[in-house]
Amino acid sequence: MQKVVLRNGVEMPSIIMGTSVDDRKGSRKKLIGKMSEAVSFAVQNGLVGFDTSRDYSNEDVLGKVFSSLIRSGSIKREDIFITTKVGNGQQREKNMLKQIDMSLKALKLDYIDLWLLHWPLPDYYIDNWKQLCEIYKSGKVRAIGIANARERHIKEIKKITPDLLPHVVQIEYHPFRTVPAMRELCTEKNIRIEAYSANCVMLPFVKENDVLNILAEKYGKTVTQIMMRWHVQQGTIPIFSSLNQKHILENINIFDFNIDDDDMKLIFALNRDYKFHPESLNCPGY
Amino acid sequence: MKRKLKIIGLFCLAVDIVLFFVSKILFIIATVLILLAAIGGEALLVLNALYKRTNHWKNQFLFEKNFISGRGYRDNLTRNLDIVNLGSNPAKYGLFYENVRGQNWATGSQGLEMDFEILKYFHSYLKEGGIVLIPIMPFTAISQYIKTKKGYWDDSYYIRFAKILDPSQTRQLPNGSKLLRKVKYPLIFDPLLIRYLFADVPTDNSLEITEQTMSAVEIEHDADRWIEGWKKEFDAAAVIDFVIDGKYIPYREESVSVLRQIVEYCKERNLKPILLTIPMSEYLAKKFNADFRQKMVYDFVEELNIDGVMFLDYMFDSRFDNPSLYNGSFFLNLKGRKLFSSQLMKDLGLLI
Repeated sequence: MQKVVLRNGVEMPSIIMGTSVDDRKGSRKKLIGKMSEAVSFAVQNGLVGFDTSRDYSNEDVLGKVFSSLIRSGSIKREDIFITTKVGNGQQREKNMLKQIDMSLKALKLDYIDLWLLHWPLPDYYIDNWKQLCEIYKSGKVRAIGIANARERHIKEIKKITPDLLPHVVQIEYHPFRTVPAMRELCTEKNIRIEAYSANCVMLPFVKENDVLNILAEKYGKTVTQIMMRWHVQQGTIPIFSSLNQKHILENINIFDFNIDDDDMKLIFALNRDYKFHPESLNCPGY
Repeated sequence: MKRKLKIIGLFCLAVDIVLFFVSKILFIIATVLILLAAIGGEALLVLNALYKRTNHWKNQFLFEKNFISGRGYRDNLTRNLDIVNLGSNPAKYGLFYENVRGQNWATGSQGLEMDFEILKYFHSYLKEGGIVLIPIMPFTAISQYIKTKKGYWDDSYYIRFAKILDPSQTRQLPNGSKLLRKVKYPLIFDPLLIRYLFADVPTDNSLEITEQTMSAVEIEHDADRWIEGWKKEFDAAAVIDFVIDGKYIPYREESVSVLRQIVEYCKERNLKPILLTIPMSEYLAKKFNADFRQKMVYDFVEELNIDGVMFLDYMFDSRFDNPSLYNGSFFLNLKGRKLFSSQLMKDLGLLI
C-alpha cells in the first residue's frame, strides 16, 4: 500500500483501519476473535495501519491480536503502524509517561508509531503536550500529534513548543466537512491530516448525494471508494472502521484509478461543515 | 450504584455461606433478612423508575429535548444551527425559533455560570459564524449576588443542569457527585417523592399558553410581586437601592467578568455573540424608572466594554409591551413569543 511521509521522515500508511467498533455488548472472547480475524484479513490484503485509543477499551485486545500475528510470522513489528491516543480521563491525571507505559504494556509493544492526545482538553492539553514532546524525544513513540485540534489549538501549541508541532492532526474530515482554514494551516506547517469519519459514516444524505453517485458511476466504483480515493489523492489519511471483510476490501481497493482534478473540485464543493461528532460533547470547553 | 449493590450482595452471600457452617439458626435469620433487604431494594428501584415517569419529575426537565447530548447525537442529525440563546426564564418564554435553525438553551432559572457551562458543552452544534444570544435582563448585572443567598442555588437548581451537562462538568458543581446520583435515583434521596405516584401534578404546559390569563388587577399585582421578590432576593429595601447601594459592586464586577468570558469564548470559536434584552409588559416596565434602566441595563452593557458585540434592546420596546402578549407581567406567552422572536429574526437578517 502507498505510504505518506510525515515531517520527521516517518512513513505512515495512506489508509488506516479504525478499531473503534462498538461491539462491547458481545463477549470479550468473541471480540478478540472478530478483531483478530479482521486485522489478519486486513494485513493479508496489504493494510498495515491501525488506530485505537485508550478510550476505546480495546488496546489489550489489539495487543493480543498483534502479538499473535507477529509470533506466527504473519507480519513483522516494523511493518505495521499503530496509533493510540490518550483520553481525557488520563489527561486529567497529568502523567503522560505513565500513560504511554500503560499503552505499551496493553498493546504488547516496545514503541508506538503515532501517539495522539485524543482531545485538546482545556486546562490540560498544553502541559500534556509538553510531556508528549519529551516522550517523543525519548523514542517511545515515533510521531506525535493531537486529535480534534483546530487552528486555535495549533497556534497555542506553537507558542510553547515552536520547534515541535504535531506531526499529525486527526480530525473529522470528509467531503461534507473540509475545514479549509485548518487544511491551509496544516499545509503551511507541514502537519499531516488524518481523517476520521472519513465517509461521514455513510449517513443517508451521503449515500444519496448526486455528485458522489454520478462520480461512482463514472469511475465504476462505490460512493465509499470515491471518498476514500478523494482523501488519498489530496494527501489526507482516511480512517475507516469495520470488521466486515467486504467493507475492508471496499475501503482499500482504491489504488487502481484516479479522480480527475475537476471531479476532485466537485467533491470539495460539497463542503457544508457538517460535523457528525459535535466535538464539544466529547470535550466540554472545546 | 449498581456496582456497589452487587458488591453488597456478594458480601451478604458470603456472610450467609459462612453462617451456614457456623449456626443453622443464624443462617436462617440472615437468609430471611437478606431476602427482605433484596426485595426491599428491588422494590425501591422499581418505585424509583415509576417516579421518574411522573409529571412531577418530568416537568423539571421539559427543556431537555432542546439539548442533544453525547447519547443522542448519532440518532439526531441536526447540526449547523444558525442561532441559539442562553439566559433564564425571560429567554425561555421569550424566544421561539420558527423557520430558522435555532435552539432555545434557556432552561428556566439559569445563572451566568450555567449559561457558560451549557455553551461549553453544546456549542459544536452551531455553524461557523452562528449567533449566540446572551440575554441581559434587569438584574443580570447583579445576579452573582444570589450566590450569597442560601437556598436559592441549591440542589434543586443544579439538578436541572446535571441532567444535560457532561458528568465531568456536573462534578464541578456544588454537590456535583451527589447530583449525578440524584438524577438517577431521586426517590432514594427523597423517599417522600413517592406521594407523586399516587397524586401526580399536571403536565407543565406553561410554554403552550397563548393568551394573558390574568385580569388587569392581577397583572398589576403580579408586577408588584416580581418587584417584591427581587427586593427580597437581593436584600434591597427599595428599588432605588439597586442603583445606589455599594454592596452590589463586587457582584456586578463578577457578572461583567463572566459575561466577558462568554463573549470571548464565542469569538475564539468564530461564533457571533449578541447581547439582547427581552421585552416585558408595560405593567412591569413602569416599575423600573429611568435611573434604574440606565444603571442596571445600559451602564452595565457599557461596562462590558466589548468591542464589536452587537446589543439589541427590546426591554422597554412599546411594540411588545401590550399585556395581551404576556402571561402575567413578565413572561411572554406563545403569541407574544412568536411575535417578538419573528421581529428579532428579521432584525438579525435570519428572516425576511
